[in-house]
Amino acid sequence: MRYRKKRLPDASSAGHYIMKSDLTNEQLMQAVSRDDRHAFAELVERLTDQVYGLAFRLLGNEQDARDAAQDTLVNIWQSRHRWSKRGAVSTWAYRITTNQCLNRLRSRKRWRLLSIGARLDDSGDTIDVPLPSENLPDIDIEKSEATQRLKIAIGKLPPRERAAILLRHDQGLSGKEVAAVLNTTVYGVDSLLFRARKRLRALLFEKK
Amino acid sequence: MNCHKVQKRLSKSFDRGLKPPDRVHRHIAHCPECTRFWRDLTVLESAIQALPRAAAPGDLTARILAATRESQRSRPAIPRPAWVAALAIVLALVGGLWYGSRLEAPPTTETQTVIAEAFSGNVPGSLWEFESIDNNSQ
Repeated sequence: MRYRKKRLPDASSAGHYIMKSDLTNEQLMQAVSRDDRHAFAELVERLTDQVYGLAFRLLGNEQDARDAAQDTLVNIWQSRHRWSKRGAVSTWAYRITTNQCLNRLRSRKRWRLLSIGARLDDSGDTIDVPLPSENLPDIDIEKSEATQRLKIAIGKLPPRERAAILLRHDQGLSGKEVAAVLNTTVYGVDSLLFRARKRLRALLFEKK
Repeated sequence: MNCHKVQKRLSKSFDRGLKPPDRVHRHIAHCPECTRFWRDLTVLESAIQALPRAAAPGDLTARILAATRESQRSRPAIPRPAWVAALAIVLALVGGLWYGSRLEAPPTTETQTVIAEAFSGNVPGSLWEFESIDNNSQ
């Protein structure tokens, strides 16, 4: 196993180094499951941005995202002996992160399903969102205002829809991978994405 | 097909990277709303992909590693199967030795105690006395 040293960036970690190898995440995780702390440090280095990025998008603030990312990676260390060699480590990390964030969102109770004028039918499955009937406004995604509007709109989605659309488009996971992360079927993901898109269209393109 | 079903199919086709079925195509050719929906799928995807990436705070990796060291100190790791097996073998050996020593231990019932004391010669009327009586009689 070939390593090169990389110093950790903060002052409090003086003297601590992270080894860099050519191993895959899964090979590193195998070493972690044998209590290899160097392998874990490298895995954390690789996964932190990914885990934090998703948590930040889902939770919408830095402090919560930091806590969720930390809890996720500590959870991976504590579960190292139960790690199944089937499946990608990153999908596993996404799954733990998403669960951490959904739990936090549930406990916060900040999201409001009806805040965008959507309403559930009796079964609670079908969502009727009013769609725009006029011409669409010009959306320049490069503009910071448009970016801000999109962030706010994503923040208004119900948590599982938010997770699905972000995992699909922001993190670039396939439908099958999103299904594995959200513990549902590919058809379930289709449904989540469809509803998320309808809501986003209503929020972003609806004429005021 | 109504617009809701068409849009659902469009969303699914978009995710699979497939062309929508012919009947969906026929619908959107005459439906401006579904045409816009189809176009917006691409717009939304591009917009989300273009969102600026949030970089993790610089000290987060170090904090996580420190937290795992702390958690290991406060909560011992779950024993691994090999350790459990080794522990079981040691316990079995210790238990076996203890049981073996019990088998060789002095008798403990009342009758056994009397016999043992008789052999020790400390009790009046013991086998030693009988022996000496026999000797005198000879």
